[in-house]
Amino acid sequence: MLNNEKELLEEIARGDMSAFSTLMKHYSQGVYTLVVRIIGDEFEAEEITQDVFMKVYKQLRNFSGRSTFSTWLYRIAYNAAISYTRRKRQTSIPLDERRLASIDEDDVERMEADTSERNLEALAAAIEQLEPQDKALVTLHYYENRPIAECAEIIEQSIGNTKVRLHRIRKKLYILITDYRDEQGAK
Amino acid sequence: MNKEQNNAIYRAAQRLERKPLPQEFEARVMARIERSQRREELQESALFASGIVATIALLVWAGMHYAPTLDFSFFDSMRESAPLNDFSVSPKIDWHWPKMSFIENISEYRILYIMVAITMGLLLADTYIRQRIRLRSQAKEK
Repeated sequence: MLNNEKELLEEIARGDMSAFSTLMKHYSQGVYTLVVRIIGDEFEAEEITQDVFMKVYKQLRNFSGRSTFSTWLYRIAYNAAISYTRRKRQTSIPLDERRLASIDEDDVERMEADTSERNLEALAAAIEQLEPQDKALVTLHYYENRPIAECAEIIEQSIGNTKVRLHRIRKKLYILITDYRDEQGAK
Repeated sequence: MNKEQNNAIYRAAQRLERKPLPQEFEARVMARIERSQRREELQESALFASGIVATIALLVWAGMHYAPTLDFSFFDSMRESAPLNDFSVSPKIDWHWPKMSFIENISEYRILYIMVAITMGLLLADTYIRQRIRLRSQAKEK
């Protein structure tokens, strides 16, 4: 968060474009990173990020301040990117629910504790294969280190629901890295 | 090492490539905002102009249609019968509207009503938009 963010927002509401430029410089890279992660196309991601900032500029007077500005901005970006993936019907292969339910919790914990180069490489590859919504949550929580409560606000879900989704993501990652290792072993 | 550093998912996520945003990004957004503002102003002016044109057209049409049939002779009789500062005399107004029955000439009236409705709608929209522009410019001045 910017130190003088409240003043900046007031200046933007009064039509000060330089204040908006300062705000954009601070947040644009983070928003762009989230959008790229969700949709996977750099060119389209830039267009969507532009749309996000246009929307922010136009709707700033509707920003009530109930959440932080950053949460509000990321919520707009998340919704824009997810809408794009829905329009383009970008979906990944869904994992078998029965397989997901059969994963042992201890195995997931062992995977999370294993910081070996081999495991990190496999995990990074597995994250890329997640569904757009899951990629967004991984980016917000694990990449940007945002607390679960804030992630929940951004994706407009309850905290409990967000925790469940993160738990499922951990299990999905375990399945994906197991498959990845099997593939590597077969080569 | 903190909790995050001990977690393999955190560390793997940190490894993901951070794509840099193009340098022209900010300039592009600014240009788009400027274009959008110009377009909005143009739309507002067009609406205002169409409101004015519709009002003038209605007045001209009504004037051309009804003015020749109106009898303003009572003004003359007022002037003759009472001096202008004599308020005790109440002039008898005798308007002579066109001699047509409502049923017979319903199409004439319908056009009039539609034009009045359109003009009122445009004028209301115009008033609303101008109010918005005024509030926005007031906020900018503060």
